[in-house]
Amino acid sequence: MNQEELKQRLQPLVANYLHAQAAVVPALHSLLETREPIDNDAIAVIAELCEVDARSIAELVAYYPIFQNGHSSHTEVCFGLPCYLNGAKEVFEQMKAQPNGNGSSKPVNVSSCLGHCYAAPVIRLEDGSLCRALVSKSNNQAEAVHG
Amino acid sequence: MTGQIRLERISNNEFRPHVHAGPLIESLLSDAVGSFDDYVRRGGYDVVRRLAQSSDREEAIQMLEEAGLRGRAGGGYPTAHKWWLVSRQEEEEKYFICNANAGHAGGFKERYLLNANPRRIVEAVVTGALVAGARTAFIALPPQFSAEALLLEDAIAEATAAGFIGPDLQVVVYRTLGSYIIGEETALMELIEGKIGRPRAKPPLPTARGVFNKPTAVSNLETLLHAHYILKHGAQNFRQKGQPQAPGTLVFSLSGHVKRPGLYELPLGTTLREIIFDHGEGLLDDRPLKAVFPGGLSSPVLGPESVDVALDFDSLREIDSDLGSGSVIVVTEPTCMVQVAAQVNDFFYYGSCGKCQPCKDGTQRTSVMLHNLERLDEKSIDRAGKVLPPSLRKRTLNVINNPMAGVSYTDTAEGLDKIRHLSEFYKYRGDCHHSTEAANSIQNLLKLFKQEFEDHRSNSVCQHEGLVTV
Ligand SMILES: Cc1cc2nc3c(=O)[nH]c(=O)nc-3n(C[C@H](O)[C@H](O)[C@H](O)COP(=O)(O)O)c2cc1C
Ligand code: SF4
Ligand code: FES
Repeated sequence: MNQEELKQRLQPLVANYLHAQAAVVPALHSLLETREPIDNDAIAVIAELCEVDARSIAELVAYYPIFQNGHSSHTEVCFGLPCYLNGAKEVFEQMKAQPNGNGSSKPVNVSSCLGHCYAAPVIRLEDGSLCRALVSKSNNQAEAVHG
Repeated sequence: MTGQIRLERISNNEFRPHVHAGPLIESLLSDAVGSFDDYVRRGGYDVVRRLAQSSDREEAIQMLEEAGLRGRAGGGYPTAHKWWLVSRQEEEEKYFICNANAGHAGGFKERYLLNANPRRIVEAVVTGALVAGARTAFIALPPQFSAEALLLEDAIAEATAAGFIGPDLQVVVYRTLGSYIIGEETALMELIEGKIGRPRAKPPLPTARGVFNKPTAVSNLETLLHAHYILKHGAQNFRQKGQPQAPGTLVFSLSGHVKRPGLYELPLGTTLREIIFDHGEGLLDDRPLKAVFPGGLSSPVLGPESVDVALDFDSLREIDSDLGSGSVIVVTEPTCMVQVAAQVNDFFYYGSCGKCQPCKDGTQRTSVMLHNLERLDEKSIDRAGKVLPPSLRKRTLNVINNPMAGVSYTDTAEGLDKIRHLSEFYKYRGDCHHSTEAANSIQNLLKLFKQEFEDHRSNSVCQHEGLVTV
């Protein structure tokens, strides 16, 4: 999408707000949703429409991890306290030990609370789905095995 | 152990929280199903209709005052007073914010409440905005609540089409960019203004100068639902549950080492014992109780001797803790409290927005010491692993002047005092309560589990079995 097209797309969204600045974050979300690159050109368009300095939008984009790994392809193990208390560390170590297709170990990250502490320990799979993950000691107990 | 990972999917509802409904949740569920017309027929938007007919907001504010509603986000601030402060301002442009952010470990009610009845949420937001006299209302949600955002947008569209949201009120679903600190009201305001969401120094308070410097009322999602409940069912009905100084119910999120974690809507003043043993069905594997965070990680930890404390604002403050937003996290023996402390402090360090150096740097140094407790007597341990050899230091003014590049703040203290003194330093040196909560939390853990910390430090071994695995 070139700058002009982007401008046309975002204009109605910005018009919703009494102060154009209030549309900065909704405009960025709109780009994230359609996986549009948030590069200098996009930032320039948002800056113009929302009447803010492009540098401050660039700072915002650099500050929030959502713009770096909004669509993380790694499994994440929640290390919030309820999950930690219920064995998140073991889940993390087990998941890391599982071999990847190419023989190397799996890329697994830790995350802050995933918002389902009643199901601790909680993980987020590569496809974004959330699961309760338990380390079971025998294979035949397993209902679904993350491989 | 050569274990396998067994998964139960949460995403497609194979696994849901246990929910104990009280009057608020029952009321939410009572008209959650059916068409918008059904909703209106069952009394939906009656409160809004009444408010729209009368230009006098005093009656509604008086009703909230009679009900004694106090904010459910943790501060316990009287909602009537907050809304009145905004309503009395002459300005044309005023804002109302429903704070539905959820970022702290152990709290998981927001998603449930948002899904339970999105129409009611929107009705409650319109109610709050009308009472406060606001022209714009934001429903602030974390970015991962995209499905909930769509449900709310549908509910706004229905209410607008039916004329309950008129041209002089705009209701906006506002998804933030994530992070724990964005739940702090002034951080949220900065983000709404298109800036990085970092808390503002106070005063001015948001009720005087909030979003775009205009009067702004911020209420937590659950508070707002209670306010609507009061205006719908009456102050006396609300007061039937709870305590004289803390009327009504609270939706507690119970997690950690309990048999039945879940959401429990219970009267304020319910004891910890009741919530853990009666509602939560007791402790996992019947192990002895070791500690409880009664209001999430920001509320100072309690020991088993406090199990009969009433969970309300003032009873917890009397024992130097805090109700927070009612996220009760239970810890049993033989959990190692040093590991818990390190985990809790890491939350404060990663959660700090970095605006105030004492907060970010201080919580980081505390984490370094907690993770290296057996080395606590070493010189400059608060900078362990952070001191670069001179050959690797960049010779820029920035780095030479950077106090983080190697200065120790703890070499004048000894033992656990290194942590105590440092945390005392950053306790009140922040633009928001985060640094205070961080310091209170670690100081309380050190006080309550002093011997355990000392054992770790002097014997270099954990006297406990470490963290329990499921
Ligand atoms: C570090 C920090 C994080 C906060 N996070 C939240 C939050 O996630 N949700 C919330 O409603 N309030 C949060 N608050 C409190 C808000 O600033 C504000 O006081 C609250 O939304 C007012 O609601 P109440 O008056 O209904 O209790 C937080 C405060 C601090 C200091
Ligand atoms: S006290 Fe901490 S979290 Fe609060 S504004 Fe300062 S640095 Fe940010
Ligand atoms: S602590 Fe893991 S989901 Fe909340």
